[in-house]
Order: sequence, then structure tokens, then C-alpha cells
Amino acid sequence: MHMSTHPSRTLKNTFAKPFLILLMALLQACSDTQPWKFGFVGGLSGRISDLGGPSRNGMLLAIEEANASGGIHGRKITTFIEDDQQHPGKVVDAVTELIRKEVDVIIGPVTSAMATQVVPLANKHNTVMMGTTVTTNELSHLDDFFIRTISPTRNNVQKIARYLHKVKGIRRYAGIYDLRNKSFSESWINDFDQQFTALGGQSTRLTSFASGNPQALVGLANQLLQDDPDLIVMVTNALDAALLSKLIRAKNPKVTIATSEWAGTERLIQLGGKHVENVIVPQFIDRDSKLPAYLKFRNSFKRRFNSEPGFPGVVAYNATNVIIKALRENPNVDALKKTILSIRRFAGVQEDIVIDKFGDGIIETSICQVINSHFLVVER
Amino acid sequence: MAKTNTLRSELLKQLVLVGTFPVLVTTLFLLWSLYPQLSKNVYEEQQSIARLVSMETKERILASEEQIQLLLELARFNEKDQLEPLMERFTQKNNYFDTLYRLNAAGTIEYISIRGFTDFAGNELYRGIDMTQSALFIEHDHNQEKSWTSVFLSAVTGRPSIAYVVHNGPEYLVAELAIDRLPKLSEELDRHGIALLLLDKHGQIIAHPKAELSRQLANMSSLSLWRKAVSTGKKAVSGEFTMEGQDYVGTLVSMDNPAWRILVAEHEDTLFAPLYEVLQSWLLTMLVIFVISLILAERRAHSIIERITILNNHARDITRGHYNRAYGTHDIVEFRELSGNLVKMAEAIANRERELKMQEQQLRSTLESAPNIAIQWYDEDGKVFYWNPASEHIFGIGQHEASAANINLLMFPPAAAADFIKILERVAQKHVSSEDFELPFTHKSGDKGYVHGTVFSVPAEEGKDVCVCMMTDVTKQRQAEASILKMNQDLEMRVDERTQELKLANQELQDTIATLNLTMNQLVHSEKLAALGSLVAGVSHELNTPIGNALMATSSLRDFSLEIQTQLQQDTMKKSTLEHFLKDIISASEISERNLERASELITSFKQVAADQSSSQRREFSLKLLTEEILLTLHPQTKKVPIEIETEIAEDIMLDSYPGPLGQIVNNLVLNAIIHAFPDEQEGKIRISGTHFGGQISLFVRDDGCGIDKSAINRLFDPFYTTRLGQGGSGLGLHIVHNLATEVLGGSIKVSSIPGEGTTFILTIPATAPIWEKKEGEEG
Repeated sequence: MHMSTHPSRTLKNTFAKPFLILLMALLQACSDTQPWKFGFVGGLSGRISDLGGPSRNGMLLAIEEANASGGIHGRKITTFIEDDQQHPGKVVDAVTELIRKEVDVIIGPVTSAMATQVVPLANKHNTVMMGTTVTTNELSHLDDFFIRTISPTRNNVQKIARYLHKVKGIRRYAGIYDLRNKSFSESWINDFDQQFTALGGQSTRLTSFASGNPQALVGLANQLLQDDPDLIVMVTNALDAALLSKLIRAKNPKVTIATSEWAGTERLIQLGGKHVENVIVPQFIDRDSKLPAYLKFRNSFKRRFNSEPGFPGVVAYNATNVIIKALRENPNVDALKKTILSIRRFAGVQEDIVIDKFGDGIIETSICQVINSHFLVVER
Repeated sequence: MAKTNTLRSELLKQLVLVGTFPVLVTTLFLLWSLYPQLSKNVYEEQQSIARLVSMETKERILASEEQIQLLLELARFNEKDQLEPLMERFTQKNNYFDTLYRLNAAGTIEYISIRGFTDFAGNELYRGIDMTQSALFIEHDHNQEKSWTSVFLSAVTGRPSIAYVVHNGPEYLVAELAIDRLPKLSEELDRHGIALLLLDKHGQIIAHPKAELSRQLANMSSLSLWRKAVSTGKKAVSGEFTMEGQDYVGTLVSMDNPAWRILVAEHEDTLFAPLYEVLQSWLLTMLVIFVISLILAERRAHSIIERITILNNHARDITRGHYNRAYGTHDIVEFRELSGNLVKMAEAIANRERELKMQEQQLRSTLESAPNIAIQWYDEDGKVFYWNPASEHIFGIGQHEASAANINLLMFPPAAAADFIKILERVAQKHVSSEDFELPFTHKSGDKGYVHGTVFSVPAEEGKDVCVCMMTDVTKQRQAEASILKMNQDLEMRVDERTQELKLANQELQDTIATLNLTMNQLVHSEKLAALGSLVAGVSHELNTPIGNALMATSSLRDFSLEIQTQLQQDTMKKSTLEHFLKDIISASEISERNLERASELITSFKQVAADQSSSQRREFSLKLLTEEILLTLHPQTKKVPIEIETEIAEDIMLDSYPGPLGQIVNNLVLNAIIHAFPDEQEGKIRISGTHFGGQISLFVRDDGCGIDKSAINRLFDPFYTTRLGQGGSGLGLHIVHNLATEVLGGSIKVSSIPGEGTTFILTIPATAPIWEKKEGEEG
């Protein structure tokens, strides 16, 4: 058996390959099967790489699966990946570079702050930009080239505000948000405050900070606890949320901690450990889902990247599949946006993805709590 | 339409093919022999690079490990609270690690020092952080004294990092190294177009010439080369793979501790550039050779085409009928032969044309000279276009006139013309010969006549058919036929007359035959009566004796009585006389009595015979008795001749039949024998014997007389056949016998005879005679 596989390889290498080289040399000009070009932009390094990494991986998995099944209309998909480092200047460069490479579609960015920077660029070049974990209100209800599979913040905030007020009976809260992702965090915390106040609650303090200086977190934690609130709401990335939780818990083990869905990645638990126990986090996915599609996806993802997909992985995988499905339906890239909006409903790994006429997803979050280092759904 | 090619393009194509094929084969062979060698060299080179890098990396790792070990050693010599300042100093001074921290047994950070932060306030931030859920802590093999981690996101720096973990008693000392801070390592990995990647055991990039790639936690485990390494478990694997849409040739080499891998990858295009260069110049050379050979081929093809053009012109001239032109000679044998053959072909065609012309003339003169056969050709529209002189003769219409006129109006009366047109149409459509036809026509002079003809089609030019019509004038035959018909009618009348006459004659003959039959019957009847007469005569004769005897006795008695009477009267009577008288009386009485009895017996017998003979009564009787009675009646005849008659018939042969006819048969046969078998008072014997077998009775009447001639035997039972014509024979005796035997008794009679020895008649009849239905008028 071993003997038989070895010579066949040699034969391929020694004969078929040279022939192919010759053939390609002769036919290079005639080639008509240019691959699809999918661009990706997202924060792959730095403090928000817990959104960017799994997002890129989710996209890669969807593309690798599509390529393994013959591509789209016989054309394979190639990827161009850019790291925006969660930097407003870098993201514009990255998207400009992708547009220069004439990509058919851009997956990303992964945060609202970045998205608001580059959506005008996408509109200008009529390139569909499929956001992953971008939930800012700023980009909703716009007939633009920005499309996403999840719903804007406002819809989700209402739910957690209601939960914390009605179920947990909380009335006083202190909030903190990251100015580095202002377009998300500011609207999130404003929406939350509006909702929570409307329900009869009040805020003791609203603090903002710019992520990147860990030492500042000590003072921030102290500030948040100053007026002895029942609840601290953190609109930050997972790393900052983990560190803040640790600092807050050290001073006040009783206070309830809640975060925005932004922090709801695996990194929160990895970095926070026991300090993030009982933290309340809204989630776009149910990690305990036993749906076959989700289990299959999760297994593939773990096998491929040796890590959990988390919600960014799921969202990016779904978003990429929406693009692939639409191109299979109609390979005309110029009509891609129209195709997506006309198909409207797509299969997702957990639930169907419905995209409204403005290209915004209609999907509801569930409320999770970290119990035994695990995101457990407490209210759907 | 089939695709056509010129000879020029065909020749060029073939020459190009012949030129291209070796180029292609040589090129492939070149690649085939060069490529594997080149690949092998590349892989070997890549492996040696990877080993080198592996060794360098290992050295660095060992160096950094040593520093940590040194730190721990130092700490051991000092008090426990000395470790933290040592760590602080180490972090600031060392070349490798960014962060150094101490974890307690529960996985919580006890103390942390970070490069760039002296007296780090972060201890408040980081101290107490629970590391139990971090990849660092989960992946670390807690049984090992020291180990390197895979790439993980540092909780402290937020950067992808690797860490060196060392057990220090129950605690851990963790030294983190952010991989994006390895520009030096990355720089060293950059080697003139060769990509060198340092990967952790999960395929995560640790170091890469592009530093940002390492920062992005990019994962290479999906590369086919990686999968190959994992599945085969080999320390070094080489092969082709695709990375970011580009084709690479690479080698993946595993390190031992830590279990990292080094990927050496080169762009396939740059790698095989020398091969492509060789290939390019080779192809260029070949192209030049090819173009030169193409030009040469074109020139050669041109010269061949010139020759062929000459031959072509020759052939075209032949087609046009110019057979004798000269075209010079060729220097190529095949062309010379072809040219010679064309000349011969032209001669042959010329000869054949002459023959054809001759044949055509013969055929035409045949058509023209046929005196009695009118031959016409019609086209498919029924228009005449040939009209031979015989046609002109028969119909009195000339060729020009015929060609010009409508066929309807030519020579046929309207009905016949319509028929003829129909025939033509059918022949033209179905391409068959017509049936023979006969049509009336009118000669131009007005004479009427008949033609007999047939039409058939023969192929003509352009797939059309010509209808050929051949006709003969049958007017004279028709006239002769008409007169023969009349003669036949006369003959039939005469035959009828004769037949009538013959019928009358026949009737007369039949009447005569009937009269004759009647006469014969009368004769038969009279024969019967004659037989009866002879019977009566016989009977009378027979009775004569006893009655005469009785008469004589009674008359004697009367005489005696008268004598007695006289004597009485005379009283002379004596006693003796009376006694004598009485004796005489008794004697006379006895005689008369005996004779009268005899007479009575005879009469009884005759009565029976007569009754039988005169009627055809059916009854049961004994053959023997019947025969004896018949013989008795024949006694008058038999006693006159010296013939002895014997009978030998069993007494028990009984018949239920007609005794009269049977008796007559016996009577006739015996009389026939007496008369014919024994002429001239000859002595002889007649023997009558009877036998029975089954239901059949056979009666044999045999004599030993003169026999019957063979010539006579066949006619023996015919009526009126007699050998004694004019001597009293009626010639009906045996005819009657035959009739009675066959028709009345239902049997048969046969005769066999040997002249000079005798004759035997054999009568065979059923013991029970068939029942005849009584014919009307016949007596019961």
C-alpha cells in the first residue's frame, strides 16, 4: 500500500506537473476563471483582536467550505486580509488597499468605530461591505452598501435594561464606556440610560475612558464604586471588562456587573477567570445550542483554529455565507446588494438570518450570565 | 457541405505537425527530466535552511531559559521577598521577556513585573488576576518542570504571546514574550524571497518576516503541508501548497522542545524561474526552427503544387475533349506516371466515344428503318420529341407535325387519346412498363385502324425519364379476325341443325331398342312357356305309363269279368276257374292300384313344380328335395339319352328362397348339359352336388361332356347366344339362368370348362334370399 502511493506521487510530480506548467504557460492569457476576491478588514491585533481574530476565522471557514465544494459557479474564492488595529487611520488605509485590489466584497469591519470610518468609502466604490459584529445605530436605516446580519444596538439594549430593572430589581447603576469604539459604546450607553431611566432607574455616574492604558483602570474602578451603585455597566472590550471586573470585585464583591455584548467573547472568561463569575452579558448566540448546524460549525471551527468561535466567529461565518449564497444565486457582483436584499432570508448556524430593506439584520440577543466560567442563558 | 482544404494548407498542416511533434516531445522530456531533479534540490535546500533556523531558535530558547534558571537560582540563595526585586530588575534588563509574573498554586497572579514599567502600579491591577481560565494555564503541562506555551493572548499586554513556564516549588514563574516584539527574529527569517515561518504546535504563527502577520494570530494549520506533516508524523515534510491564493513549494520541519514547527516556503514561480528560462529559450529556438522549416515547407509545397497544376490542366483539357495536347515531362516518377496515364486515359476516352457514336448510329438506323414498328419518344409532359418513319407511315403524320401538335389532336379519337395520355402519365410517374394496349386511330387520310402497343420509360438526362412508345398497325389482323368471327357464327348454326337431326335418329334407335327389349321379354316368356310345355309333355308322358298300366289292368279285369259272367250264364263255371279268376282280379286290382298311386305321386310332384315355376313364391325348402323333383320332371328327356344323372346333396341344406327360379336354373343347366355336352347320343354323366358354407349355398352342375370353347365361354350368358342356331336353340336358356341367379336369388353363376373333359357350372346363392320389393303390376 505504501509502495503504491509513493510512485503515484512521483508520477504526478514528474510528468503531470511539467505538462501543467507548459499548459499554463501557453494558456495563461486565455484563462477565464479568475477567482472571487473577498476582502476582510478587522482588528486582528491589539485589545479588540478577540473580535477580529474569530471574525476572520469564521469568514475563512465559510470560504474554505465553499471552495471545497467547488467554489461559486466554478470559481474559487481568494481572500485579502487587512488588520485595522482598531485605528481610525489604519482602517481607511486597509479598505483603500482592498478597493485598490478590486475585491468583490468586503467582510468587516468588526467594530462600529471602524465601520463608521469606512462605510462612506464602500458607498463611493459601490462595494458591498458586510459588517460582522458591528451594531451601531449610526449605520441603521440607511440605504447604503453596508449590510450586516445582526440588529443595531438599540434593539438589544432595551432587553438588558428591562432584565436588569425588572428581574434583578436594580435601580442605581454606574456606567463606563470606551471612547475608542465611541460609535458603538456611546450610543449603547445612551440607549441603556434612556431605557433604564424610563423604567424608573437612575445612573449614579457615567464615565468614559480610552482603552490602552491599563493603569488608568484602577482609578476608574474606584470612581465607579464611589456612589455605591447596585450595578456597574461596562461598554468595553473583553480585556478591559475582565480587568475592571477584577478591580471592582476586589473592592466590592456584591455589586452586580453587566457588560455590553461587545465584551461577550471567550476572552472575557479566559482573562477574567473567577473575577467575571456572575457577570451579566447579552449574547447574539447560545453557546449551549444543540442545533446540528451549530455543533457541526463549532466542531469544524475548533478543529481548524483550535479555539472556540464565540459570537464573532458565528456572526462572521453567517455573514460570509450570506454573500456566498447571494453570489451563487446571481454571480453579478454589481447586483450583489440587490440580490441579498431580495433573498432576504438566509440560513444561519443557529437561527435564520433576516435582512431588512436597509441591509440591517433582524436578530435578537439573549441575556447570559457567567456561571462556572461559562456563558449561561438566563433570559431569551 | 463537407469541409474542403487546399493541398497547400494540407501540406503545410502536415509539415507543421511533423515539425511540432518532436518539439513538444523534447520539451516534455526536458521538463520530465529536469523538474524532479530541481524539486529534489529545492527540498533538500529548504530542509537544511529549516534545520539551521531550528538550531538558531533552539539556541535562543536555551539562552532565555538559562536566564530564567539563573534568576531562580539567585532567588533560592536569597530570602523569599528578594525574588520580587530580582524579577523587577530582570524584566528591565533581559533581552527576551516582556512580562514576568509569579502564580500561586491556585493560578492567581501574586506578583508581576512588566518591562518599561518600573515600580509598576499595575501590581494593583494585575495582582490577584485569576489565570486558571487562560490558555496559558490550561495548556501548560503541570507535570513538567518547565515548558513553552503555544501562542496565546496575554491578559497583561493584550498581545499574542508565548510564555516560558517554570515550576518554583508549588508556585509558577511565568515569563511572557509578545511575539510581535520579535522583529529581530522575523528579520533573520527573511532570506531573499524565501518565506520562513515559525509556528506553534497549533499552527499559529510565532514569527514571520511580516511582523503584523504574527500579531494577527494567523493560523497555518489548514495548509496541506501541515496536514501532511500531522498525518504522516514525519519530522520533515516537503511539497506544494497554496497559501493566500498563491502556489508555494515548501518544507515543514518539526522542533522538539518546544514542539514548534518551521515552515520554509518559496513561490513556485521564483523557484522554477530557471526552468522557465530554459524552457523559454528552448521554445524560442524551436520557434525559429519551426518558422524556417515552415518557409522551406512552403517553398517545397509550392513546387509540388506547380506540378499538380500542370496535371490538373491536363485533366481539365481531357474533360473538355482536347485529347491530344502535349504537356512536357516531369522529374518526379509518380507525376510522370500520372501524366502518362492521363494521356492513355485520353486515348481510351476517345476510342470509347467513337464506339459510342457508332452504337448510337446503329441504334438510330434501327429505329429509323423499322418498317412496321412505330416508335415515338415522349417527354414527361407528353410532348413528342422523336417520331420514326414507321410512325409517319402508319399515321400519315410527319415528325415536325407530330412535335408541334397537341397529343390530343394527333391520331387518336378523343376517348382513345385520353386513354393514351393516362398510360403515358402512369408510366412517367411510376417508371414501369405499361400493359399492352390497343387503340383505334385515324390515319391522316381518314382511314380508320387499330394500333397495338406498349409504353415504357427509360432514364434520360438530369434524372428525367423519357417515355418510349412502340406501336404496330394491327388493322389487317382486326379485319381478318372479324371475318373469322362471322364464319364461326355460320358454323355454329350448321352444327345445331345436324344435332337436331341426330337427336331424331337417336330417338328412333331408342324406340327400336325398346321394341327389341319387349320382343326379348316376350321371347323369354315364351321360352318359359315352352319349358312349361315340355314339362307338361313330360308329365303327360310320365303319367301315361301308370295310367296305361292301370287301364290295361282294369280292361283285363273287365275281360276276366266278362268271361266269368259268360261262364256263370253258362253254368260252366268251375271252381278252379273262379279261383283263378279271383286271383286275377286281385292281381289286376293290385296292379291298377299301384299304378294309380304312382300317378298320384307324380301329379303331386308336378303340381308343386308347376306351382313353383309359374309363380315366384318364397318359401323354405330342401335343396335336395327340390333337385330331385326337378330331375323327376326331366325324366322324360333324360330317359331317352344314355346319360346318368347323380345327385349328392346333403339333406339338411335348407333355403329360404325362391324355389321356382332355382328349379328353373337346375332344369335349364341339366337340359343344357344334355343338349350341348353330349351330342350324338354320347354317353355321359351329370353330377349335381350341393354344399353350404356360412350363409352361402353352392350348387355344382358338372358334366364330363365335350366342354365349351374358350371363345364361347365369355359370351355364354349373353342373350341370343347359341351354338345351335336354327336347330331349336333360342339362345336365351343360360341368359335366363344368369338373370335368375343374380337378380332373383341374389347370387352369382360361374362357369369353368376344359374342352374335351367337361364343364362345371357353379351357382352360389345366399341361403336366405334377399327380399325384393314387388314391382307394380307383377303378380303376387
